[in-house]
Amino acid sequence: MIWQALLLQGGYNSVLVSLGAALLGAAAGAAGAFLTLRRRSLMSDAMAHATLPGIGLAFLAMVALGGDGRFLPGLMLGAALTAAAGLWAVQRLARQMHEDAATGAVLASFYGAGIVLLTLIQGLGTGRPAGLETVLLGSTAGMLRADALVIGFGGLAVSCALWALRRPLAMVAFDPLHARMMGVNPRRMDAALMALVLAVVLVGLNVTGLILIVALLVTPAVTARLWSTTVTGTATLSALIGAACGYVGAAISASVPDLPTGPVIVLLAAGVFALTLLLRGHRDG
Amino acid sequence: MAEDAESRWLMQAGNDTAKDDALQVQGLTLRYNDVLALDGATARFPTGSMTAIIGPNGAGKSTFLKSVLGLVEAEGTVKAFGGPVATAMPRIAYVPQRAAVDWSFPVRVIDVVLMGCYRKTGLLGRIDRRMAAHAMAALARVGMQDFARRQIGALSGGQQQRVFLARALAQGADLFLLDEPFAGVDAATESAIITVLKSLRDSGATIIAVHHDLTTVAAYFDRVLLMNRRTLAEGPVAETFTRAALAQAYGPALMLDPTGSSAA
Repeated sequence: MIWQALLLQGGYNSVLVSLGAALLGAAAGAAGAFLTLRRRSLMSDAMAHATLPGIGLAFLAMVALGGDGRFLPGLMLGAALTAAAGLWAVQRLARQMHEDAATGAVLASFYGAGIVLLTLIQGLGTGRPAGLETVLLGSTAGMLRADALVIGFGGLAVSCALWALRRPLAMVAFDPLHARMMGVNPRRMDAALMALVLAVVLVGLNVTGLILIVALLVTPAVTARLWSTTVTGTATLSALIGAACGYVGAAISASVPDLPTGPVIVLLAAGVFALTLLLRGHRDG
Repeated sequence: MAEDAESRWLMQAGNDTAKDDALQVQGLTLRYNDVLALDGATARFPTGSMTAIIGPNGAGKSTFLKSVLGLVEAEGTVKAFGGPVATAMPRIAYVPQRAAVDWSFPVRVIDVVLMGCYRKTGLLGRIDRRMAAHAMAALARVGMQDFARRQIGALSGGQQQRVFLARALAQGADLFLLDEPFAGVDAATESAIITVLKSLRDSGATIIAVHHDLTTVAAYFDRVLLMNRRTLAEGPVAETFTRAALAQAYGPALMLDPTGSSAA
């Protein structure tokens, strides 16, 4: 069953899902490379956890309007709104405290609010909330064709945007003052990077889930760092690792009942990282 | 550009009036919370001159450079080549303090230098062979052409400093601001850097460097800006770099004889 899924013989839908997960993994790997170089990894974790209340609110809003509470684009819109609010809150709080403290505070509060909302929704018994909790850990089992297409094209779009912006992004990460002198606006580049990471988080909701997306953003990136001495090389390799983990993880999860996708993908990425550490040892460079 | 070359020549022809200054700074003031980092610092830097900014620790020398460039926001007027700094930015290069750079970053020497060409490649621009050759030429000027494919963290401190000077050269600027270019570098690097800076000056560029080693001021520079949050003295080394002025800046305990310093 797993081999069938891996070798693109698991039926049209599961092939589509695996390819979608691969493109998501590539986008996450590439975005994560720039994110870790800019030292903003944890920001993505706060952003991901801050999607949860938005998902709950979007579900309630769609049910109230008489629609399907699990309509994915609607959930993503809600998720994007509260994630952006969370990001704004981190940046606002970071003026009064260190950024890591601000990140932790926002992450926990938004996630807590989301869990409360989700629990309330389960108690309501309307709008078919069953399965809504897959946004936490991801599940590709029984994913709709349309969802797989959204994930695949979303991942592809993010990867293309990162490729186009790789030079200014690298300059801002390496030496923001010099970047400014070269006519690059670091604030605008950071905003663009955050928007792309947010896109990865949203697209990844159904694949890795919001709790573990940070691992798919960070693990391939730090693995690639150990092999490459250039930014483009790091981002490309990170994207390849992410794509492979996404592809294999989605295939495994689709063929083993009740196995959530996120943890499988993340374990695969951790395996590649551990193997790299064994082969390359610790490098300062 | 031919126009640039012509205006540079005109500026060099007469070096005494204010309009020939590459950089003019008026009343630069910066307050961090309640601390005055800069207190109305005022200075002029004639085109084709080479100025050392000296002063005690905490005198705001680095802050002065960053404020001039608008990298930190300060009150006051700054004019570069007679206009606002933002307009003149393509003609200005800045070499930061070594400590301000993340040396573990995955970037090769040639990539760092190519970052200096960014205005020529543009947002989505490709790096073509001509651009790569231009970057290699800049590396060769500082004697680092054999290190082009090395990771930046694998170099010595002096070599790293030379790479950053090469990045500034690749930019094609004619006003150079350097923050302690000789801090923590080996003797070979120090002489390589000063040779490049002097040749830049001789071809009409203006050099401004924060400098710590008072014994080399007279040998390396032709002008001095002595500051401690505000301007204490400025002008040609012979007139400005005096015992009295140094005592005012550093306190009377400093036992340096500036007249004997030209031996270095």
